[in-house]
Amino acid sequence: MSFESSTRLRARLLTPAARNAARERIATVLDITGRPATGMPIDDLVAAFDSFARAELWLALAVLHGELPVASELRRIRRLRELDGSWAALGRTLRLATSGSHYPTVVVVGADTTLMDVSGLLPDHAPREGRGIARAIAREWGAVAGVVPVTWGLGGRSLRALTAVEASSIGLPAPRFDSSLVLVPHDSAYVLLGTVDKPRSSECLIALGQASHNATSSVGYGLHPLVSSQAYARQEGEERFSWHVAAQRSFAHLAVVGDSVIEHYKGWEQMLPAIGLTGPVLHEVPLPPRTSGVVDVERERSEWHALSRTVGSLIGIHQND
Amino acid sequence: MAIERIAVSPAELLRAQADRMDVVTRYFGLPSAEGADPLDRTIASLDSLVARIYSIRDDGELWLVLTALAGAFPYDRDVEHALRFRDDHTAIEFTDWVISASAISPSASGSSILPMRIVDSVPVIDVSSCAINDRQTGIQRVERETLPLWARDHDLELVAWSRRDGSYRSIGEKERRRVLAWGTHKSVPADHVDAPFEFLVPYRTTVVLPEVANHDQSGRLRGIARHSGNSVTAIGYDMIPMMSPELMPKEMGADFLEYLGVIKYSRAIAGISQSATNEFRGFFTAVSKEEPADATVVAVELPTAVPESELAIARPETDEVIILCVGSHEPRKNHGTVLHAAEKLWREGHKFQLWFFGGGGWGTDFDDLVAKLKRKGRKVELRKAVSDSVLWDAYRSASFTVFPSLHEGFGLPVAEALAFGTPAITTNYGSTREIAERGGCLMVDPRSDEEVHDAMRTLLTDHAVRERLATEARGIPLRTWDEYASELWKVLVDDVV
Repeated sequence: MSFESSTRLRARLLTPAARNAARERIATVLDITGRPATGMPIDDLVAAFDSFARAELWLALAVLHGELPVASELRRIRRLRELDGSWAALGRTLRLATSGSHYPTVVVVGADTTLMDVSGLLPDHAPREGRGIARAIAREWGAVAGVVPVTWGLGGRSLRALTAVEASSIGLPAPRFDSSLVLVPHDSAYVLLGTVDKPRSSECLIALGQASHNATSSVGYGLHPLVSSQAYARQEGEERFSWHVAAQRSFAHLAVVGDSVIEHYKGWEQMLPAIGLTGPVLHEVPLPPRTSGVVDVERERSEWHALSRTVGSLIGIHQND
Repeated sequence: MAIERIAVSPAELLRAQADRMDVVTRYFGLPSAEGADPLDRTIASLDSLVARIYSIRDDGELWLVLTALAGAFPYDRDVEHALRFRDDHTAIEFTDWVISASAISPSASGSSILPMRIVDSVPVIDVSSCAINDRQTGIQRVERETLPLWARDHDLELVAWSRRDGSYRSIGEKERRRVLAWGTHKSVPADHVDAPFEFLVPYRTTVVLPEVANHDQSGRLRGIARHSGNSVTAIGYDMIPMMSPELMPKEMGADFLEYLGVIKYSRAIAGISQSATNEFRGFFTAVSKEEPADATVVAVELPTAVPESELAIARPETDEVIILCVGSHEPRKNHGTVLHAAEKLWREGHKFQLWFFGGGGWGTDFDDLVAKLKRKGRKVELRKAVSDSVLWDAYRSASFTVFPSLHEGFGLPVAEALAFGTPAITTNYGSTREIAERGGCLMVDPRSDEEVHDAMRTLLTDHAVRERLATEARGIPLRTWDEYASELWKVLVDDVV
């Protein structure tokens, strides 16, 4: 059986839910990538697959799967397309996209939106260095038009908006999107403000930084769990801070907030040539000076405001005064 | 793995502790405690020892006393606790604290009843993994080539880690042969329970780590590196677990982060390539503000370990074109890219065999891809667990090798291929770039399918390029294990002293 026949057969055998989700998602892909839609979704998509550039392929997989792709899957699809044609690549894509039983709605966010990833900042996430600073910045940026606070969905491979409870727990305004939607950025911006130390999410971010058409940046608070591991609980299991840093590696900008922690990242930058990378552009942002004595709330507020403005301006989030 | 517990009576533990305290007392030239009751002897020893460490305030002496008390190397946090107690309390309070510590130490920490010996005049070399098992990966290979040369030229003490006791012990004869005479030893199981070993305590000497310490060791080795007065030095292989978690099994890496806590307080690191050295320098830069280090970090590049007799054997006459790929099948080695390029080349009509020589693997669809290619009749050959001589034959038979690894401390298969005059296609950054820049190689971006494919096609079709690279390869001077061992000793032992 040819790849075309098997893919068409697979499409015909989909459950109604899977078929509807596939139709919707294919329409989204064709629409966002500006490819013609003739009413024959599979044929339209296979024609589009033939000519997808790298970032378009990333987008197509993200939308069709409802999950951000990892580099190995992108590579596999690209190679299948090259050797066996677009029907083969599409066949694999559809098989993976329709293998589940739940098909959340996928929303592609565009140029007017910045996804601000607050993973690690929510109360049920393990605390990390810089959480207080990050939450203060999140509150400042959360008020900026177009900034959407997000975290990772259950499988750790898709981004979603916060629930109302999550948002309020760290002092953010009510979410703009429903938390059940899968958010996929394209021609957009993604800022990692918190910490992503799960392998699955980190692998998605590595691919997002390498292959998607998005402006990527993050905020760093030091590499303490790597350079002072003795001061931390043993990083058992799969979740590890090195995954967070691996994700940051593929971003364009990294604003380093803190006293003296820029050295952590300068050292890290020295190691990157061993893997053929230069890493993000580093920006150092010192913390406001600590004062002893009476707490001046207004002054502190204005200092945090100034800090988040500075960090935001470095990575493209522009606060109003 | 559970730590083996052996049945030792409290009386034996107390006697062993008293004996260890006596070793330290005599070492410092203090009068030995006498009497039949071991507890009385320990307390008598402590009287003089505590008075000394309280007045002299030498951290190393305190570490040695704590070590003798416990029969184990103390964790760095325990030494810090003791130091704070020494510095913040009166002599009587400190003495009281040490006596309390002496009561709980034998049961709570170490349980060693081995006789204690202080090693202060020769370097102590930690060969824990190499001595007790038959693995022969890159690290053990470095040890089994280098340490016999060190042992030939220098006095040294080989030690193995005792997980049960949290300390170093001497090694047995079979273990010694496994390290110093690999190939002539007979495989034996770990045998550290009943053999007449000693509890070895390095003191004011150099402790060399030619292996990467595991979780169990690191906390105590950090105590040695920070507080004992010993200089800890190490071979720096790579930073893969820290820098490339996506290229390792997901559950691995925690041990390495803890090992970096030892490296941070080490005095010298000898990187196996310039690239690996730069990774370790980067680590020291990262910690420089918080823990200003006094470490020397230099490159002592690994040699190309091919016997001259092998190099003298002529290449076989054959019309077959063979592409050789050496290494385990894991994401880091990037063999999927080689398979993809090969399939494109077969489809273009090129005729060749593709050989993969190397160990097992994980985390890739390598086996599926190979099976698919074989079903199409492609000439792919897999050989696992090959001997050196089989590997040398393969290098001699190959038209060229491909090694597009994503992260390497040292690209041994590239260097070995070049030693046989076999051209190589390899990664255009890091340690493989260092090797390739000497000639004999085409360099590619390993993340680019096109570059790997184009380079393979060039070497399949352009005999002039292949011959030029082969000539370049044959002209590269070979470095020997003797040179490596000598430079390594200078960096990790001589220069530190």
